[in-house]
Amino acid sequence: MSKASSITGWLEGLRAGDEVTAQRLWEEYFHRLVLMARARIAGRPTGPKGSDDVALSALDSFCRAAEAGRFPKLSDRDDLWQVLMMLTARKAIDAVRRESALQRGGGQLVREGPFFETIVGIEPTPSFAAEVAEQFRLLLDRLGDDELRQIAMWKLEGFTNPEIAGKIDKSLATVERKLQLIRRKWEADSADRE
Amino acid sequence: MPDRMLVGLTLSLTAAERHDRICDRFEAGWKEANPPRIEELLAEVPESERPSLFVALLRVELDRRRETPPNPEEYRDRFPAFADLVDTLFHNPAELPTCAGPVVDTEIEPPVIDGYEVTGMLGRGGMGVVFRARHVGLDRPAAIKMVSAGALSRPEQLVRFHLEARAVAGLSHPNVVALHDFGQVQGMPYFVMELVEGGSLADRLNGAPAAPAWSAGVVSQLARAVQHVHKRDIIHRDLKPANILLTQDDTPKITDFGLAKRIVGDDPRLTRTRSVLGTACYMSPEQARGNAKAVGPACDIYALGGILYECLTGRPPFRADSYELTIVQVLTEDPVRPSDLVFGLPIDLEAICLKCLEKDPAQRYSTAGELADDLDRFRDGQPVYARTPHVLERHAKWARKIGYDLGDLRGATRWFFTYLAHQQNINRTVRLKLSIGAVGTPAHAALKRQAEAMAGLDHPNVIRLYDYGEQFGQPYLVLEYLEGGESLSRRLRAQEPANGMSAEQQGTSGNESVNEGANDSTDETSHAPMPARAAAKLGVMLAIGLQAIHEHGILHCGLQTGDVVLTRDGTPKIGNFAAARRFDGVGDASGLKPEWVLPHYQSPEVVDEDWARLGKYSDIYALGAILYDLLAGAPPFAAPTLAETRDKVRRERPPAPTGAAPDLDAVVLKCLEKDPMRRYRSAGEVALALQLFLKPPQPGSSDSTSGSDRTVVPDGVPAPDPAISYRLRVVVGPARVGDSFEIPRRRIMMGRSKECDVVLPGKHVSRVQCGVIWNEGGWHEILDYGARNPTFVNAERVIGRRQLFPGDQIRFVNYALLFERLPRVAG
Repeated sequence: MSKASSITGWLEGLRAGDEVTAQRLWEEYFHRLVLMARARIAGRPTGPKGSDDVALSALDSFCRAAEAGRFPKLSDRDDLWQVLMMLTARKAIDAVRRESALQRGGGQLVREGPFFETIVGIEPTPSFAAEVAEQFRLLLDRLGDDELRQIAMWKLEGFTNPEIAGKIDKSLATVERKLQLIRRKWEADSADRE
Repeated sequence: MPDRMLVGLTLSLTAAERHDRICDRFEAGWKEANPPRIEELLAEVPESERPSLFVALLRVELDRRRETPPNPEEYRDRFPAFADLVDTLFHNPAELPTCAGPVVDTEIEPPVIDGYEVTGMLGRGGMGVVFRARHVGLDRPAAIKMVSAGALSRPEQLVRFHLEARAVAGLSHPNVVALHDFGQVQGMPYFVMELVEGGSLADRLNGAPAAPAWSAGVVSQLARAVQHVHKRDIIHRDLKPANILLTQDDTPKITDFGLAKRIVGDDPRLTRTRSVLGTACYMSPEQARGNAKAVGPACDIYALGGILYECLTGRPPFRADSYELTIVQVLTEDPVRPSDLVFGLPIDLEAICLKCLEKDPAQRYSTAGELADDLDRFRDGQPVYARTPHVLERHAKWARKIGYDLGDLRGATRWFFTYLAHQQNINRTVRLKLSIGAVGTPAHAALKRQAEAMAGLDHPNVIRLYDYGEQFGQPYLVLEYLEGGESLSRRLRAQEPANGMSAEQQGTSGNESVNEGANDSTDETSHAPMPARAAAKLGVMLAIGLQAIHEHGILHCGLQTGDVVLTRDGTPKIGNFAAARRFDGVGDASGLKPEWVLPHYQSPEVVDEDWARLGKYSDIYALGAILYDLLAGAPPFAAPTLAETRDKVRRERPPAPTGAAPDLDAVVLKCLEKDPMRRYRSAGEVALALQLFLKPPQPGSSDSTSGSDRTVVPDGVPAPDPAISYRLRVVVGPARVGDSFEIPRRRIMMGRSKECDVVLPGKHVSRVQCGVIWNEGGWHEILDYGARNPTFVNAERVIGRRQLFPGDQIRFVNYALLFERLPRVAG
């Protein structure tokens, strides 16, 4: 897998100062991922709705934002996409782990490895996109507060913190605090599961 | 400066939610122009949560008061308990995102310093402000650190500032932020440092784990730098991710020596100050206990473990809601295993990390260099020392199965473990060298290559290989053990070599110990020089051993003083063929690991890892460097870092090693020529040149006709016994020093440079062209081929002339070397 063909690669590119390339690769990836995730949710047989609708409309707006050229910034310290994808990847790893543990009678784990790299290729796989969509739905659900949910979605749409502060007419400090809270809730949820 | 990790992230999720609601209420109050007072809101939460709530509230308030910025004094007065936090929030741009772009501090004017143009502010710490600047003349970016006015009022801070400058000034390491300049402007001290643009490690991690391999690489570099710092008797004492800067290409650099301490001799008052000496999260237990006496280099090793922990898990090893609670954890609790926090972490890396974080300093790595070595072992995919207790047990068990009792571990490098072992059935002591890694691993391949190189190599100046095998999946070498032997490097540095070979009389100098691998410390390279004649004698024997190695078809490729064992009687034996390769393997980069060998003794072509250019002359260079070391008391080139040493090897010319013995100096310097073609072409030539120094040819003696036993006998080897018959030995091809042959009366075609057959009894018939010249009077001059060649002179001088009678049998004790090049001469 070439250097630029993974999230790790982009992040490395970013560190190496190749910000433009990394951002472009991310945008390309992001757009495809969102389209795929959206198709996945839209294609689900009807079921208990609510959160699906919210997720679907959110993914819709991500698509629109991307088409309008507004992408989340990879270099953003508060970026929620990185959290979302990390959580999804971790979940996928869990699945792999369970599977291999079963196969080998619950024996040892495979050696370490940059799982993230192997799971997230430059081409988002349909199954990963599906996982992202599912994870996204779950995470939105678990925020439990409309304001947090709204901030999360704006953030995921690529709005900057000051822009979000303007939208909710609150201070930047508050937006940052809320983003931190969102992050913590998401991470706490994932920790609970494990 | 309070650690950001301590603030905000230390709360439980429920507490964070509670704070969020309080802040929302606070902000709603601001909108209605009737905000509650911060003091009242703080009272709603337990004491331990107040600092983080205070930060959250103050940030909202500062955002709201942006139009009319308040004075920090006001808040410091209102909240004396949080004065530090107020300072940070007001002045640290990272904590105040509303201040976009360069912040010009109200307290500190950008300094006006000759030659520098200040272009902005980079950050602010507890005692200083850092500006971004540019050296106008050099057009080089730089960072200028100033003491803040507040700090000026505290003399102790000022002293610290000076100490920091002094500590950093003595350091020169690629992983330490360099100090360019130090001075005062308007009574305020400043220093100019290298500007590192990539942000701190704390910013990079930002609470998330990094890749294990990346983390190991970064911490390994840091550990090497810390080793460098410790060597200069400085302890950093405040290593943490925020004090590690990253360059654009991810090279970590240690900064902020504000708490650094000389290991001896500092004003004790400065070290006893309670004011957050070291950040609690990374503070070693001995620091946390406040026992200044117990704080040594081990606390930096602990902190490196803390940094590794945070790289791996995204959080420091200990983090409680308050400074005091964190201290309690540091003192009493074991850190949560990193693999419990992050799935899939390599166990070895975790073991390294936890070994650094041992509460008892004695249980940690004893030096930062050892930590770096272990991390590098991990990066190479080799088992690490942190887990060796298991390895040792396993090896001992394994050895019993194949008939050896395992003794002490004598050397552990990245790829090999070397033990003393007792071979039960024949009751002898040997060295047992095991590859780390089973059959099929790179370490196994390396061990096997070594065995192949040594197989059949039997020479008094070379360590002998007894056996090689692979039993129960474990490859091993059995090597000669020399009771009472000692490595040359150790001998040189351990004692005054007062009269050279005095070691002969010191048979009790302990057991053999060979420094395999580049474990020689670069800082301990100097020692007392050895007298010229003693060094030359040692050199002759080394050259002869090297010659034998070359005749065996092998290049040693890593010769250094650590690889030479001196037997109890002072005879050198060349060992450690870890980097050796066959002549036909030259150009193959897989065999040699350059980090195994110190660049101090290696030729430019080895230092450049230019494998295609390797040759015997590369070993001859190393031989010259060892001689240089013996004579001058230090190798030809040595610099604080290996990289700098390599650079010197490439570019600089060494001064004459002795100055007092020009003939000997010339020999050594010829070995050390940068251009391989200008060096001696065989180790034999070096031996001869050294012989000439030891025993210059005496006029007349070479024309002696007194008989067949007239040979120039080098010192240090037994003189030929006139009572036995001698044979002229011509070494051809696989024959070795010590072989002999009878002058084949009929088969040597006498005449000028005629082709002739040389018969080696018991060997084979080789067709060579050799310079055996027959004179009218029955004189034979035994010359190297090609009269224009400088060896001609040596040959003539050393071998001299002698009358040979049919059937004469002449033994040349050492001069067989001369003929070594004969087979290569084209027809």
